[in-house]
Amino acid sequence: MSTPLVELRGIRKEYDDVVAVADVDLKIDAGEFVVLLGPSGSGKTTILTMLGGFAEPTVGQIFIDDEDMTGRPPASRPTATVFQDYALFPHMNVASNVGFGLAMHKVPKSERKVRIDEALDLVGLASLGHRSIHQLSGGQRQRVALARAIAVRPSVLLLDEPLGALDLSLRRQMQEELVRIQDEVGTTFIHVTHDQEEAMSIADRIVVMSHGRIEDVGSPQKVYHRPSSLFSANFMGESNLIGGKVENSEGGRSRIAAAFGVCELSTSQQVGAEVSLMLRPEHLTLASPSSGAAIALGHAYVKGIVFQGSHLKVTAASEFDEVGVLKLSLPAETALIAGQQIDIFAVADNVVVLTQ
Amino acid sequence: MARWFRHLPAAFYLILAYVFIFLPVVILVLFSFQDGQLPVPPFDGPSLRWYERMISDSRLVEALGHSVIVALLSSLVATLLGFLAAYALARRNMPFGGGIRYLLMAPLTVSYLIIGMGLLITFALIGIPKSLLAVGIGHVVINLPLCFAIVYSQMGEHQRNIERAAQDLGANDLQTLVLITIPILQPALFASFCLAATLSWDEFIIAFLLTRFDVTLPVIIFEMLSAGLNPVLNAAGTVVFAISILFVLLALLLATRRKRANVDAAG
Repeated sequence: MSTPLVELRGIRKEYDDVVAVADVDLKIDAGEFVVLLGPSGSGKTTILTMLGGFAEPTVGQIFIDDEDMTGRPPASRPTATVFQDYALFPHMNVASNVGFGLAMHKVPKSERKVRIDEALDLVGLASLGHRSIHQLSGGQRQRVALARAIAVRPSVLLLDEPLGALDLSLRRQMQEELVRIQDEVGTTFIHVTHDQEEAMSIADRIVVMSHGRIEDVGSPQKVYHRPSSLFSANFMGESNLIGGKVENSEGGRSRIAAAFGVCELSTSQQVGAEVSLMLRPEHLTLASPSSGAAIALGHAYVKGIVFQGSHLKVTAASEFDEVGVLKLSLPAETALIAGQQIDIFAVADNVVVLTQ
Repeated sequence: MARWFRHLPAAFYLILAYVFIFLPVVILVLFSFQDGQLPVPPFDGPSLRWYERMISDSRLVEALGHSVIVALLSSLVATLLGFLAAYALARRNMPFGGGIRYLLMAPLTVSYLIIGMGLLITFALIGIPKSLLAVGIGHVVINLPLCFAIVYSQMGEHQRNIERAAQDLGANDLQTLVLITIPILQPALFASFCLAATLSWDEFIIAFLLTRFDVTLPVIIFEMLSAGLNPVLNAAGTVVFAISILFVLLALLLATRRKRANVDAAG
């Protein structure tokens, strides 16, 4: 890949004595759909604000298109922001909102009209240009905010939890729309959210953040299946964490002793280190898997069964106190009753070893 | 029946309260239409003769003109200064911003009499004579904190994000101010103007202390009152009251329109 479109070098942001962002390095390529994911206070919105030019980093530099953005006001950055509260201009109609940036960039009137129509068409509001902002629904306002930002053709579109105020079904629908729109315009999207399902369904790459630091970076599959930290494992979805101790590590393979026995996994670890073995609920099975090296996790007693349509969500108490209660996601047709004794297995390749 | 009976004391109390509040005004207005020589009972039947007398009294008409000019100009200045102060304090990171804000609002706690006396002494010291200008300055002093508070309260985080959006889309500070901030604040600006105008319009103490030859309507009414009750003064008082009500209604109308717009925005 050539030089990245956006590069954050050693970004640190302090407010009084609070460190909002701590030494973050990140490169983003042109055309990527990147999601900054994390709980509130993780620094994700602060990064977005610094990219947009509404705050300056205490330490570090931001480059967009190889240009140092330090000290540049929002107006002269090649970014456009979709604000969480939309921040539409209430005294203008839809078309004037979308055309505002074009007018500020001195785009001739005739061209302005064409680009307003294009942008409204893109977000599916082609016929609503004359409407007042007050006449729009929440979802429509969201689209106007998006069209307004896209109309100025930014190199980077910054989205600050844009779907947070929408109800669930509308949010899912807008997620698909965002992916489609990003696909059509090809602009780099940097999207902030605390909703890991949203992140997984829209992102090319997820950046998991906590306490101002990057915990994990990678494709949705990577951060979900092979998280690189305990925080990331927990934040991305339900997981089973089983404590273990590294007995031996050689040539990229480690022997790890856990309550249920000793298993050999392909990972390099410090001998003697305390580790957590992470397994997603859907990676636990009731029968020994036919392919791959199987690990037997011993018996467990079914505690709770929740039918979820496509699958059963089962909790089961392991025979080993150290393992505790395991969470399983089993095929919907599995016949189980509470109190039943089951044997639990996993494939070694699905186990993620995380240092504590 | 029983239920109706139970509400009787409350209704009685309510009526009493309203009578207490409105009776003086009703009597003032009623006897401005008095067909007799004195604004006291009995009511001799409706007539506009005292209004005619008022219009033909050059002192009253002149004072009314002065009051209008002082109210409009002082409110304009107070709103402008209040807006500028609010804009600076809400949008710029100023050192001691909190302290400046409290200091700006502090005059609200000082009585008009004290402010009037202070102005009298100060103006004497720096050589501004007793005049309508002096009254106008006095009214700016009392109304500025109010105008500031009204405008400042409307410049919250959402409004700030709207301004950020404008800057993000390429607007410079001046464009943001003229195209976004002022149009959005327009109802608040107008409401603060109306309120300031109402307060200036019937303000007496400062106007009394700071005028000599050219006086405002409340001052002339006071002077004429000392010569005894006269239905002309009822008529003048009714005009003062009606115009005050007009200003308040205007401000109220704008406030509710704004509220409705906000409800729309939330829905």
